[in-house]
Amino acid sequence: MSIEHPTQSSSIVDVLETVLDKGVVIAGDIRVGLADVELLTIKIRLIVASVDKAKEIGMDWWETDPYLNSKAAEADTKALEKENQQLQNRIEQLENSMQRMYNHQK
Amino acid sequence: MEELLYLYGVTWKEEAQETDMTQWRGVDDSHHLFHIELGNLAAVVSFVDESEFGEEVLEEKTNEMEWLRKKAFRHHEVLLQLNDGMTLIPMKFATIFKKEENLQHKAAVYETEWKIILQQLQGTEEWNVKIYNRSDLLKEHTAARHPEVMKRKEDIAQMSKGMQYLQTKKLDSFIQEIVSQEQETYAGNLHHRFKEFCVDTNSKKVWNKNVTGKDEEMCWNGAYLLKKEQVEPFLEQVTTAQENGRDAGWMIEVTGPWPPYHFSDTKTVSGVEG
Repeated sequence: MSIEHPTQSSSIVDVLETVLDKGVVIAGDIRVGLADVELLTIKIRLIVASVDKAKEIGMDWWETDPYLNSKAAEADTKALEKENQQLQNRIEQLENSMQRMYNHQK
Repeated sequence: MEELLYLYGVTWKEEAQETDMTQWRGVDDSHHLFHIELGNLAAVVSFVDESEFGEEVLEEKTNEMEWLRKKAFRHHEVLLQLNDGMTLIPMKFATIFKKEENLQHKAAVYETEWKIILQQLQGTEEWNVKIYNRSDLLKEHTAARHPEVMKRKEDIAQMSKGMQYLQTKKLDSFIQEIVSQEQETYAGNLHHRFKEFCVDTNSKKVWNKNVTGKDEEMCWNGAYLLKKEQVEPFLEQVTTAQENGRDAGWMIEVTGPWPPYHFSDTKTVSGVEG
């Protein structure tokens, strides 16, 4: 059965047509005048499509070049953070098992 | 830095108390969610910085497509998460208050209606069905099966070359006409079949190909509110329709469960639409 999850990128139309156009409208304190949902959806879909296309034909090198793209730099930091976290977990595990051995000897 | 209150939705007070949402991040991916009690109801909110969501900045930001896409999806993700565990009245993107007091004041106005809506939404799910058609396949399908078309084809085969040419052209426009009619009635019939399972339905806008980016034509776009126990049989109906329609170029796309975006408006409190 092809039940698509609404957050999939393929359903930009789904999400935008509901989030920007539907839902309960009560006037908050901040007034925001959104452009026509149809126009917004077309624009956003085209941007996403062109990014996908660029990836497809290998034009996305700038996305992974840390000097050119801060997002990639961010990803780099994230990778480091992840590695750091993994190392910390391992240290914790080692400490725990040492503690267990120590308790055992007692 | 000034902080504003971003409102995601309204639920029953007890349901908000039972849900630990303090670990979930809001639309800005930084501040955490919490709830504000409004009598028997509760508003799910998070703080947002005025430097990003203040009125003037927001006006500019909503013209930046990348920002808007990210935030709209984030808003939706938060609502999906909330909707997973509680009865929820989802708010539109960027419903923002300057002070809790203002939110309390607004809530007092809507309190009675929100309670009615929450009672109606109890134990339900919103699903979306889009029906698409590939008219070239439907045309082929019609040409091969329609009794009138088949008879005319046979007749044409007996005719002289010149006559054949004229009659084939005529037959072609006849098929085209059947195809257009068929698109209208087929989608309509399916909707009525799906409707049988629903508490309420709502028709959504049928988007053109520029919006959908698909080769198929959208013929129907509808929101369906179902009792939870009706979801299975409803999806079975949709699957059957998917299988039956494939050869004739029909594509049925079903998504859900959605936060009840289409069934929470005060306008839809009574009566079944569609």
